[in-house]
Amino acid sequence: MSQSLRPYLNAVRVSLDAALCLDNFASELVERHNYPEVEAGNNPMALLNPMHISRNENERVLIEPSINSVRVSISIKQADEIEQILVRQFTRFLTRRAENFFILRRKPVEGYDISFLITNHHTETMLKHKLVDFIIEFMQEVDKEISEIKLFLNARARLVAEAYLVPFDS
Amino acid sequence: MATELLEYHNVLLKSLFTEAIIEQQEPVAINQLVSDFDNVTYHISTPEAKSKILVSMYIKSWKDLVKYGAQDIIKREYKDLVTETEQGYDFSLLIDLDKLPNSLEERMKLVADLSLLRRNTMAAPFELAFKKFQAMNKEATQNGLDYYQPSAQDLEIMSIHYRDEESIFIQPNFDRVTVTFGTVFKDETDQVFGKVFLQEFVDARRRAIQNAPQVLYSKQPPLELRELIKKDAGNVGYVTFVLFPAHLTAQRQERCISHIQTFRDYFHYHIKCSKAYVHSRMRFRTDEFLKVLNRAKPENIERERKTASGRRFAAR
Amino acid sequence: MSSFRQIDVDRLDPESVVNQIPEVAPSGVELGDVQALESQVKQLLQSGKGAEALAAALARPPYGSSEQVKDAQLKVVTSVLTTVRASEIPTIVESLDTTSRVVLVKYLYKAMGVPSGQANGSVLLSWLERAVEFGGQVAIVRHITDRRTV
Repeated sequence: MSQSLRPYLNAVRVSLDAALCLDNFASELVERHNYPEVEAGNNPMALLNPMHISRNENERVLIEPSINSVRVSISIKQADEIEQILVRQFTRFLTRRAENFFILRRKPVEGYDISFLITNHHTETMLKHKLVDFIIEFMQEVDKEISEIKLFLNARARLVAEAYLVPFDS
Repeated sequence: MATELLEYHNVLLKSLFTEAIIEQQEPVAINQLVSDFDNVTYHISTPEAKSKILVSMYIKSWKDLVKYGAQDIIKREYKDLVTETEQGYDFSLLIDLDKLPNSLEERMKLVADLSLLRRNTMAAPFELAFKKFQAMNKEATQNGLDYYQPSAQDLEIMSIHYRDEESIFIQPNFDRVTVTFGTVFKDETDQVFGKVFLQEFVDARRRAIQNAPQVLYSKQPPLELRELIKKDAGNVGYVTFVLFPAHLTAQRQERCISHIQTFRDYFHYHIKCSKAYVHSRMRFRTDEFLKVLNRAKPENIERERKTASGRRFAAR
Repeated sequence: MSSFRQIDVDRLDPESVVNQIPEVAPSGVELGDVQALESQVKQLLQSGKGAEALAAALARPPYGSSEQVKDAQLKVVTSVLTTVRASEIPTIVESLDTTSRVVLVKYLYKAMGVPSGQANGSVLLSWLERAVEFGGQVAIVRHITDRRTV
């Protein structure tokens, strides 16, 4: 299964790299306004073609580029109930701190677990390749974290159960 | 990794009585309310004199427990300490510090018994179930298992409504005693975490501890309880322990009763611990992510500064 | 009830930027063409001619055609991508001309957006890997910026 992980992450990296060529773009609709075109979605000429990158039905990335902003939405693997709860808790933790995370969107795009919004302001003040590095690292770390927590919980549950049951027969 | 078993006794009571009875500290006026698990409150006071400690206990499920012989057990365990019940409570004991037993051993036993007030009160239905089991078991083995027919009364299920929306159901039989906990999960997260634990409880016997009690879990009330539980709160799960004859021997009975009583609180305590663990891990990981993101800012990158002619700055 | 502020004025203004939908010259591909393509491709695949099958599938992208036609052709392209042996992928991608490689990339990004493509995620990802290897990042940029979509 992990054989498709590398191509998946590389595909995201190379696609994101291409999409992150952003320029300042004042609104053509409202005077003196300057907003991420991908969020407003009202100017067809400012929007570019989206890229779907999927490892399978449960692990997907959607990159929506535009002239001054890119939206990156990620669907995280959740094989069972406990993983679902953990992913939900984790993304809630993160989005609560969205301000600190500057590129994090407060709400994920419909159908995904978490979304990032990167604008030209970010690419002007931050190193582009490090932003891409961050997204890729994020994807790997989240999966790893969820797996580790689940493993720990199962191991702890085993110990707790055995500790309780042993005294009955001793 | 803490797999602490909960103490059977009440820690506050133990320390209070240790001071008064074992250490024999100077008697003081007391007026304290102490809580315990499962809707139990104690009132410790000295209304008459500083040397006469009145201990009153309120337990939500008193009416159920009395049905199953709780008063007899209290009389048996606390003998002439039993006194007129304080108003607002279910029973009271009066400890005269001037009339304590002489030996240290006896006094330690007294302190231990006093801190087991809740355990002893709740023991009533369990002791009754075990007695019935012994009787049925004896009869069954004598008359041959094939001919044994327990009566409906023998198999009568005892229920203890010890918490809001949660009850314990005990059913004796000739070859086992079944104890079912109806337990409530306050939200979906608790339920999912709870299931992780329960799965291990259920698997333990098959996997590692062959002689453990059999544990079963279901969202629906078990078959035998369907009559009793026509409708539950909806977010209730049923955890059943099947205690086999090996667990019900005379030597093991006392420990078994103390131990099984702690299941619900032990279970929910560990759910809370797991949730706390997950939180702290996620908080840590979030902070780590922030650090990585901040590295994307150029001003955070260590850059060597040089003058126009190429000379470097020396660090002081 | 007054429709003050309820009306999207920009939509009603024919000169507004909002209504400047990019016009794409229709390729003229119709459902019939796709059906013919489907049988052609099936034959080529059965004879083991993977490279030719893919070249044919990518030759006439349905720019400007209806969604129905586009979906139909997507199915044809996807069938080639998932039928061809994994070991042949590098050679086939290398054999494509630049234009076809860009069309391939467009199809890959589109296919991974639908359940049938997602189910074959790892195969499509290896196609994309090769496409970028031989076509460079330019192929991706072309997909992002080209108003002519498959």
